[in-house]
Amino acid sequence: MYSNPHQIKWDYRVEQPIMNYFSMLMDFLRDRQKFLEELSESVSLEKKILTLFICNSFLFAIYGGIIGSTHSFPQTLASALKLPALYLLTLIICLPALYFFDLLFSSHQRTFQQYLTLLLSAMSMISVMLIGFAPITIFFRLSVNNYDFFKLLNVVIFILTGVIGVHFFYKGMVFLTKADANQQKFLLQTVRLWLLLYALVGSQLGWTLRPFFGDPGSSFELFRAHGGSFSGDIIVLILQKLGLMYDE
Amino acid sequence: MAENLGELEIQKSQLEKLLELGVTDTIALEAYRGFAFRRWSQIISFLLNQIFFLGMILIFIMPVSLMVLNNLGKLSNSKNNTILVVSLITLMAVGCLLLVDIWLWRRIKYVASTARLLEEIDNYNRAIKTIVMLDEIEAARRLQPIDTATNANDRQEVLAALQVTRDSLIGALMAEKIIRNNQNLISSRYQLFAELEQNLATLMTFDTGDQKSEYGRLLDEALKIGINVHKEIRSLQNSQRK
Repeated sequence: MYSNPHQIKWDYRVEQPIMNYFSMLMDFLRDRQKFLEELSESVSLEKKILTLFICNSFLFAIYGGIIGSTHSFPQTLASALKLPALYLLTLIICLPALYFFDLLFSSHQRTFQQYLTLLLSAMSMISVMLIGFAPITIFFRLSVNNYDFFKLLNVVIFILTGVIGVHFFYKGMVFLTKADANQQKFLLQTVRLWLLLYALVGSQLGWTLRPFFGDPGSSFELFRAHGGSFSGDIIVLILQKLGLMYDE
Repeated sequence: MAENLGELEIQKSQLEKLLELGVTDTIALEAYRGFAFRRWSQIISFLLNQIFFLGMILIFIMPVSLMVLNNLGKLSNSKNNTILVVSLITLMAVGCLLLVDIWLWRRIKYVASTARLLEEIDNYNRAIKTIVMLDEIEAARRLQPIDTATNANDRQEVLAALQVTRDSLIGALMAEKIIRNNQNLISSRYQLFAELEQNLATLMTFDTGDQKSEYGRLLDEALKIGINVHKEIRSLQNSQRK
């Protein structure tokens, strides 16, 4: 007796383990628990890192292009490069601090690759959610001709997606540090402080790399002169919208 | 011998465990298979990889370059300056991409034999598919048992040959992995080579005289795959001795 032929997959051209980045991303999103288990066992970390780098770059570039399209085509291209740079460079800048702290104070250290993979996976949650919000952003981009409103809307979207990414990262750290029962509480408090540092570096890098949206009243600028800070600008914007401060 | 055709097929998950390729080797393998065997899907995949790598390099180089140039006071928003800066950054990114390609090119010599073995696995799995199709045709014809006796014998012979071929392919992949990773497990390697020689001798005993029937052709195909695998392992052994 032989098996039912319909049980056999008939893609006879055997797909050798080709890097199918987006299907790997979907596998991660569908089964995050399995991803974390593989991460803790360091299974295929190199492939995961490359996949997540490429997917994140691509998805952030799409959203960056959308927010840059409010101004001009050069701004669209510039923002498509700047937005992924903002997230990925912030990660690269802040990761060594987290890794070396773990190396010094933890008895069951995680590897650099494990931390990088976990952070990239948290970032992919952010990039996927941004793409989820993209139709809403495009809708308001087309229907509302107000640069300040569009800027504020996107700040809210970035904060919301950031919270989702941070939540996943924190859950991942809880999972990875569960073997370190004695020090887990201390490590997680350190992670919280590190996340504040990450937010600080990220916001300042964002301010340095601006403009992302492009002031509709002015010509295209690849880089704006230094001055002020991200938090200062947003606070002023909110106060202006509430009528507590007037536009100069 | 596996009556179950599903057991004979070499699945993707098995291949991943057998090959254990790193990221760069996987990309190099894909590039080699695409260009050497003219597989358009893999050529397109390689070209897309190039675009992704260029994008990633630009993403890292651009903001760092802009910040450095800004601090040096070399950055202004004039059109000429913007064009110059963008051109410089693009050239740097293309240069980095060329370095990555040179690195991939150097890995290709290590994965070329893997690529050739994977082509034989394609041929092998195609033979399995052909048997299933033949089974379905025979079931549809509803031949009398006496008429199926000859076909059943041929089928059994082909399945036996394919089982031996399967063992050869898997043995060859394991040997190739050991050589590729430069492991010094000499006893394991020579044992594998001895088994592969034995498998080839077993394949040579099958009678491929009747080329007219479909099963005869499949038997011949299985023997050709076995011979190609043997040749590949010989060339790996010779390159190892050098």
